Amino acid sequence: MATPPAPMRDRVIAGLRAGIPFGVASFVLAMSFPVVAEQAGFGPIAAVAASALIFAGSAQFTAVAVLIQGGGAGAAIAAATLMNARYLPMGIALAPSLRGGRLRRAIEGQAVVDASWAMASRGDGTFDRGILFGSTLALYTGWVSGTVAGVVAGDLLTDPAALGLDAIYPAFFLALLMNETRTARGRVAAGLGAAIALALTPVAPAGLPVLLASAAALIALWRRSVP
Amino acid sequence: MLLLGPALLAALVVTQTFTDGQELTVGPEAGGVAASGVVMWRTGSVVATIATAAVVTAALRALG
Repeated sequence: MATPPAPMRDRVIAGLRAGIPFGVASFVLAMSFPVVAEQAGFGPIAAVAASALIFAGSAQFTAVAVLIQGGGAGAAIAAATLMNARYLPMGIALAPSLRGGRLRRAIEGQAVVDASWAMASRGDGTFDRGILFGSTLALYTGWVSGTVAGVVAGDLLTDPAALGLDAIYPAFFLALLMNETRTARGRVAAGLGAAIALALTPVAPAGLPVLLASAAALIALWRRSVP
Repeated sequence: MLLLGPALLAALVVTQTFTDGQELTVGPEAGGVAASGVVMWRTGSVVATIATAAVVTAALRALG
């Protein structure tokens, strides 16, 4: 803690390096997005635009799933918004680590995705902006170029499930999680989060179990640590 | 706030592994994700972890 932080440029490069394996995974996962989105009537340009602008795998796949099941645009947007509601507590945790005025912090906050948020977390409640931006750059490049590759080579990917591509997402988060569960408190939080999310799944719409699990785990641990 | 990460990531892992819509299921992807966890624990390689998840899931699905 006493050593001064490395220059911003070095930390962005470090973030880029750390983000590359996750960027590769994003590439593979994004390849299946245009294939799935086509069933919801998305053309190639719409699929690439969705990846470039929304840049959130779970929200994109959720919105498309609602459309395929016959839901309207409103229902798709509502489901995707709920899926992304976890960014609210994540953003509250991150905000003090960003720089500048409100607008600048709001723009910097756009760099947040799950993987870069977790990688940038220093484990003491603060976040490294350089790692955040560098890893997001790797993830964004992988996600958008993977979507383009899926449009071009989508015919080879007629059945993403047969290739096991649906297991990439949870494995991606599991790899991130295993970097965070070295402490006993981290493991307790992970266990609580998992148990609450599974318990709520049959009764709450998709997205809400994850949001409530993270919130409840925080409250439970906070109460335990405050005598 | 520092424990938000593990709780959030664990919730994402289990919901994406064990749910199909609002139903709880244990399918081939559960085997793939479990195998990927062993690879991450033993090797620490993210690419190997993710490749294992896809390959094991695809193999279990082809067998089942």
